[in-house]
Amino acid sequence: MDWLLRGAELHFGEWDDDEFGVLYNATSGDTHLVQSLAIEILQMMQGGVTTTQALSMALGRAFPDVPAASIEENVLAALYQLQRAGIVASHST
Amino acid sequence: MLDIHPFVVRVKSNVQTLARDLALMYADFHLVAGDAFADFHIEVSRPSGLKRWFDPQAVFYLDRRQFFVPLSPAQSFAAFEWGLNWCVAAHSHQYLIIHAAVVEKNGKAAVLPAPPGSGKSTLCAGLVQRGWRLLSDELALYDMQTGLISGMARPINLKNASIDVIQKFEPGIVMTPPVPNTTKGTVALVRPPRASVARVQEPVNPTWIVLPRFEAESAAVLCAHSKAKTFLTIAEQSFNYDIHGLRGFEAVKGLIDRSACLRFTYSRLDDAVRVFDDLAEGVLP
Repeated sequence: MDWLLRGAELHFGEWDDDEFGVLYNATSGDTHLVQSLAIEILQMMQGGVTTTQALSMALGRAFPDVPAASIEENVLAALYQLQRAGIVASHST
Repeated sequence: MLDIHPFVVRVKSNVQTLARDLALMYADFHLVAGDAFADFHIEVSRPSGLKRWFDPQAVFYLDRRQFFVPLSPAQSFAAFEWGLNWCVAAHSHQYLIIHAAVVEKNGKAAVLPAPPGSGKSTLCAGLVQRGWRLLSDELALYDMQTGLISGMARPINLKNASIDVIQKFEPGIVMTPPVPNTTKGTVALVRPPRASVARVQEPVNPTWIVLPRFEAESAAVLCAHSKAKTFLTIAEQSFNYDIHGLRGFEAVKGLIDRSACLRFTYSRLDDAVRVFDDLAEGVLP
């Protein structure tokens, strides 16, 4: 599945050892509390990684001890959370 | 004309109880000459002429325009305080205005943002009766350029059961007579300590952000809290966060970056003061 960023200008707040972060969408003016994984995903999408598979693979390289299925499940959950918040949109490849 | 640094307020009224309560609560504040600039021109008055006998209510005016539902004259001081809060919160966008108590000891400041009913004002009143400096009970003024917070050191607004709690905690405390049947229940205001008023022009660099919560029968427990969740609480408790847009986001992020974020549950004020005194001495949870 391919994903698009809907907010043209995103700003992040992240802190060590915090499982959450904050996200400011300058397009909508909304501030969101999101999982820190969601911020990682958005930063990768800003770098051009836009499919569920590619995002999961990139995270899998960073966390080689975590099963691939678990990573993909968490990536999808985070993407759906961002989709509900209107920050990303999906379209099938 | 009352100097509640950083603002000057011109107050006009024909309500005697308001004059009495103003003199009691703002006894240690500076008065400003009548021809000086005032940020807010406030009037809390009963109607003139025959109407005052048929409609004995006090009306809040800003710049001669009526705001809010009129209240009974007995509630005039509460109306003044709440109206002044609104004046500051709705017009002072040079600051990020956070609904928070702010107290300081040994040069270290705690910001206590919380929704109504959390026990914020009770905790604030207890701390300032035990040597903490009062900056704010309701409105923290966060200077987004310097990162410093000031707070006007205005009276502490107690409601319902907390009035009795504070009177027992500090029997000699100076407060207004409790006024029943307001929109917030019974309210009374506590006079700010003279030492706090004397230092009203000294802003603080926040050290901790503490989310307080009164919970009956609980021990006093202070523990670390998620910075991201604290960010959201600060944003929710800010009157003008949305107005500032990205600047507001960056300002709150800077505040969170520089502060230890904690949450605090308590039921007994003595225990709460002890925990905060330990915190001021450097004992972190």
